Amino acid sequence: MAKGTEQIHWQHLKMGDREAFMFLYEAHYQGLYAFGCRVNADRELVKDTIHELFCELWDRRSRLPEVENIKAYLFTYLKRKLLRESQDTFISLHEATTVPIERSYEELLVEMQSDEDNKLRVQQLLHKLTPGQLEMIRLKYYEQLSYEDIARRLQLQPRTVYNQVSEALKTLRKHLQVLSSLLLFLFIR
Amino acid sequence: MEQYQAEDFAAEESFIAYHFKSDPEAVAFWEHWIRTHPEKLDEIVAAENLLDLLALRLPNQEFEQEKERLRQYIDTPVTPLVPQFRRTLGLLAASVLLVLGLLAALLLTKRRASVPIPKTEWVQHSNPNGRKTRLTLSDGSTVILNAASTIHYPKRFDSDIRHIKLEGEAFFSVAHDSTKPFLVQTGDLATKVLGTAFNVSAYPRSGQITVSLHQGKVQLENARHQQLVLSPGQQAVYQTSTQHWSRTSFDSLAVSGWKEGYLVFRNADFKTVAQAIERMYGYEVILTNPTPTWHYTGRFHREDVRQVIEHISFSKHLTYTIHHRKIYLSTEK
Repeated sequence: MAKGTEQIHWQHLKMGDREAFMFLYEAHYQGLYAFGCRVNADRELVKDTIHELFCELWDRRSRLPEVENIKAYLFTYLKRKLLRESQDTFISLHEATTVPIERSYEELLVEMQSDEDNKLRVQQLLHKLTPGQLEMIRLKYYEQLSYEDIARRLQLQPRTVYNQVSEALKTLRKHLQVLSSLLLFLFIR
Repeated sequence: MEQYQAEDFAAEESFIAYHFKSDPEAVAFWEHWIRTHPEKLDEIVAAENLLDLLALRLPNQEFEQEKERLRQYIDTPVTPLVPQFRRTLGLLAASVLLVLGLLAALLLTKRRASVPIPKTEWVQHSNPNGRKTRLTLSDGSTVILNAASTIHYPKRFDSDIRHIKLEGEAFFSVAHDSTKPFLVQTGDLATKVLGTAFNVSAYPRSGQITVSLHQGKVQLENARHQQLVLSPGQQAVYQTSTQHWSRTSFDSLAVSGWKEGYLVFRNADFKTVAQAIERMYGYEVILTNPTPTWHYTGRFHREDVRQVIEHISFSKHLTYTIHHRKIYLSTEK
């Protein structure tokens, strides 16, 4: 999104404009979610924390600071909240789990699955890809780069990248079909 | 494209742009294409699932739920929240709060002459359904306020007593100060402490007040000046109508687990289950036909409301429908 448009929405939010607020929410939600999952693998906690973050933004709308880079502001805000959340967990109720702050793409794909069975399945599925394919999939779908950008970065022909990605998707699809009922349940909920 | 399989759609640049809504032209094109090719719907859905999986995005349906949750929050008129009372807050707000505080104080004097009323600025914090908040008081004590609850507390503890007023539920970790007792007023029951961690549940609808002590020592006093002392691991259940209490042991996860996102049921009847779900998720639970009485025991941690209902329905042979933030339960045919 153009920076200028964002700034206008931010100013409108400060004046209490609900539409501008929902616009910023929609524009940043998925980015915040993906980022939040890298900080804490508990997806329900990440969802709750993003929800709280926006509730707080709304409550404080008239007193929000002038922000140059809204995306960076929101990301820092979320990270701080998530880190505080993990410090807050009471030891008496469940054992503290120490989690590394940065996870690889592969680890993330696995950890985002809701139960142990699915984690194992996705892990096995990813092993069917070559390391090169996995990296291209990451650049294409997680970083959301174009085939040309990926080709430039990896010093390959765009056609080669496309073919590799397509090949990887075929592999994933084939094995996904086998467990489609399970994964569908996962996607749908 | 008529021969496309899911993986072909998922690899297509413009299809990706459609799914992630990054290019309005692609969105328009694919929405039209999908409408006119219903026979490809299975492949399209598979492709979109593949994209969500690989992009680590929250699936659309869940995102819609989250958006609805936020909408509900901003549409719920709540008293202006004052998480940390800062000087940036206008004088007007401060005087409004002061008036509220004085009103509360007046009401309190009427009900309980024995409690000294500090002449000080009061802060009020209310949570709607589905939200909990952590607050730090001026003495360093922390309060985790549960959903659908309201707390009043002085901006500063100037008087010789630390006086808090609560409706709903909260978990208190009280900073030790033997010279200034900490007093939580819930209706006509006062809980007095010196330094401790405890949970107070005083939802008006439940008709009872429960005080559960984790650490330290608390003393309860009702309107008739009867007193009861609790030791760690004990809880008092006070019936507001009869002004009688009983003392029992309690399960700390069932009582205070809510603050870490636990939802715990032990032999809970429908009313208890419905109220807990309403508070935690903001979904109303409705029984559509009379069912034989049942009791549910189970534990959830930060689970989606759908999953919670799914589990309960499965074990109690119920079917459910979710529509406009209402959950309709009925007996399986």
